[in-house]
Amino acid sequence: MDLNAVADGLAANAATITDLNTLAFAPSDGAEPLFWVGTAEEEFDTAMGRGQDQLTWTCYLAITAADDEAAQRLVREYMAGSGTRSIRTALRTDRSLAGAASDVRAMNAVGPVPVDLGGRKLLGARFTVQVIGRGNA
Amino acid sequence: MSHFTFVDATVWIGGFDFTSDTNQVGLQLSTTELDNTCFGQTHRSRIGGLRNTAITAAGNWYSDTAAAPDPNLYAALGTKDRVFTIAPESEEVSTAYMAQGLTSQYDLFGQLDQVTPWSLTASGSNKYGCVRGQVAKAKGSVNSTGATGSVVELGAVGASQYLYASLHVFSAGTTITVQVQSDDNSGFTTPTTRGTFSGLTATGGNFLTRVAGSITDTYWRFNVSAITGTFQIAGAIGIR
Repeated sequence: MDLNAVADGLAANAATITDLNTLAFAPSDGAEPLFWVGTAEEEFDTAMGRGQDQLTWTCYLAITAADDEAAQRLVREYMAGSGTRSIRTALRTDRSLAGAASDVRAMNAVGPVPVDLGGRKLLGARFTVQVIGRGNA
Repeated sequence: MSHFTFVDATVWIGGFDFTSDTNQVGLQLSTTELDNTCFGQTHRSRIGGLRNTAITAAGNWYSDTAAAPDPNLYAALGTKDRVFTIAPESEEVSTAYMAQGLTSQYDLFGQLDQVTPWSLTASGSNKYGCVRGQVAKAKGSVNSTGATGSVVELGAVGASQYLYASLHVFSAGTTITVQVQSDDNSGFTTPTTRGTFSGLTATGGNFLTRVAGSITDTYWRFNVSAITGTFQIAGAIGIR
């Protein structure tokens, strides 16, 4: 799998959420609400002949500098398993990630938690995302 | 060759290359134990009886109209003499095992939170059993006549032995004829055709009608003697 293409695909899928900014890389700064694709852990050779690799991505969501009830409720909307702000649902908009992978799935979400964005501590969430694809593609 | 990691096994079944959809493959070769212990002996003694070939494989399931695990496995269930070629590595000249088998079990799906799985169980379905040989042609396209793949040095075919070969057609053009040739030198200056896969026109697995020894030549190869269109093929040659 082309990891850059996969990251681009994840960011593009997340961008289907209205008004959510997305990046395929960890930013030094940015405008919230912002979703970005962070680190990847790659497991090679989960099928014979380079048939499959598996990626486990850590992605981040930074929403707001506030930490009051409204801010926490807003983060939970992004963490929901369904709904207009659901990151989980958005990440499966194009399950092939524009042809870069076989399938994608958000495995879990942790939040609300403080997320560092350019030295600022914002309220947000952390997502674990699994991507599978051909190892020889 | 030394020890190696098992990540590049080759699994060809009939007209489909299962390799990249497989994460587990096993070949169980066995023989019955016949106890021939007699009075007066201090230890049991045994002789080998009939041999058996069993094949297990598993991998990542998906379906499509034809070129996918599911349609091939579904159609093969209960079909006799399906051609299996299994090699622990993918390169030409690597060791390969060929057999004709009956798929008796096709398992689909599993539990939550895993890549959707499949598995199969098959057994040898005729008197030829499992033949050990070498990959003479790795999966690849051919569109012209001439030798294809690599020369494999298998040794001579003894008087009580036979020559075997498997040839898988993964995608078919119009027609292809592939010969199994031998020679006494690796340069194949004086090749002799020992067997022929004649006029293949469709995807599928093909098992050469075995050729009896003795044959003193020790080098073997595939040779395309006629072809129209482009074929994607692979195969192995063995002696037993």
